[in-house]
Amino acid sequence: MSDTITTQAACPECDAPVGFEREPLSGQVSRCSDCGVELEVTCLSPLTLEVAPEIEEDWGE
Amino acid sequence: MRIAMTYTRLRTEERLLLDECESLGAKVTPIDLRQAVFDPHDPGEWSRFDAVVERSVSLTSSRVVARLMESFGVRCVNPRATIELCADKLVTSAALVAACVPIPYMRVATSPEAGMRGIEQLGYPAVLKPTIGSWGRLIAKVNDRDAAESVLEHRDTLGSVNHAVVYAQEHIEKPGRDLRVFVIGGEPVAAIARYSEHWVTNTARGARTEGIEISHEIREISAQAAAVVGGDAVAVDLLECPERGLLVNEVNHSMEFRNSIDVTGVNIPGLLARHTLEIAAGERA
Repeated sequence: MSDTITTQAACPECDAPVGFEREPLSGQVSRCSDCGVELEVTCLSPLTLEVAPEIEEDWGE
Repeated sequence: MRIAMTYTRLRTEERLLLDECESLGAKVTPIDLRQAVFDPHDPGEWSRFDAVVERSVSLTSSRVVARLMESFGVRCVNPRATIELCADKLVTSAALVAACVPIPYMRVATSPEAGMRGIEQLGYPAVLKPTIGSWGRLIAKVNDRDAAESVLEHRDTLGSVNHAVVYAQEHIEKPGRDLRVFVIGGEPVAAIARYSEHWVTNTARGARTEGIEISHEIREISAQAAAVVGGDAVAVDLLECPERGLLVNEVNHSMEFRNSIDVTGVNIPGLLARHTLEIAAGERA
């Protein structure tokens, strides 16, 4: 089994590859450079991205 | 020392904090709260931490963590009391007024009819805000009675229970900007001005930021406001009232700072990381 950390996954919206410069963490937010959709890391192994949820009422500072 | 960072979305701010803690020699355990299960009878792994930095974008999650960490005897950054004081604008306002910290004139009511009377007492334009909310969402400037009645009716009919409270504030004719002061460990460490053509000068709504000097007046009022809510790191929003000078508009317990580092030249996450390490090491209460 390879110990290589996957730092690339497909955008669930447009299938373009989305890369990370460093090892991603669960819940990390990113953006697809092709379609511009905001993404979130939902699984590290295998690296899985989902479209980030819409802002909720209690979100903020 | 062992430090955890709880979060619901890992944004630039959280990454920067992790990096800064690491550069100071501390390994921080990042914990995605959506995966976490707590047993209030048994702190388990949580009791191993000397401090937990709470960075949830969700207020509900922040409250869960802060309450449980307090019951586990684990120091939360910020502590529960600070989060509770900042979470609800009415609670914040009441605490600031009790401490004689200047804020805009305001009225509070629990029905649309009483809310209308409160707005009329303030005069127009007035600003209506949800008591819980952030990033300038759902705040409304009402310029006349017709607009005020419409907003109150919409909130009463469509809003959740959070919108049952009418929180009305006088509209301050600010000079195209408001100020934000970052306070860490009680010390104002950086300040920005947020400029916008729109009356809402929030970076989440596209405001442009600029670093500013922390004047004596800014230092005094922001430190005073931060002392009222206590805690470790807060962002104090100030309005420049032409007649009454600086007024505290809001105090934020989960400050965002990614856009304020370059413009101020202050390593805000570095200072917060250092503060957290001092707490974890028992050098700060």
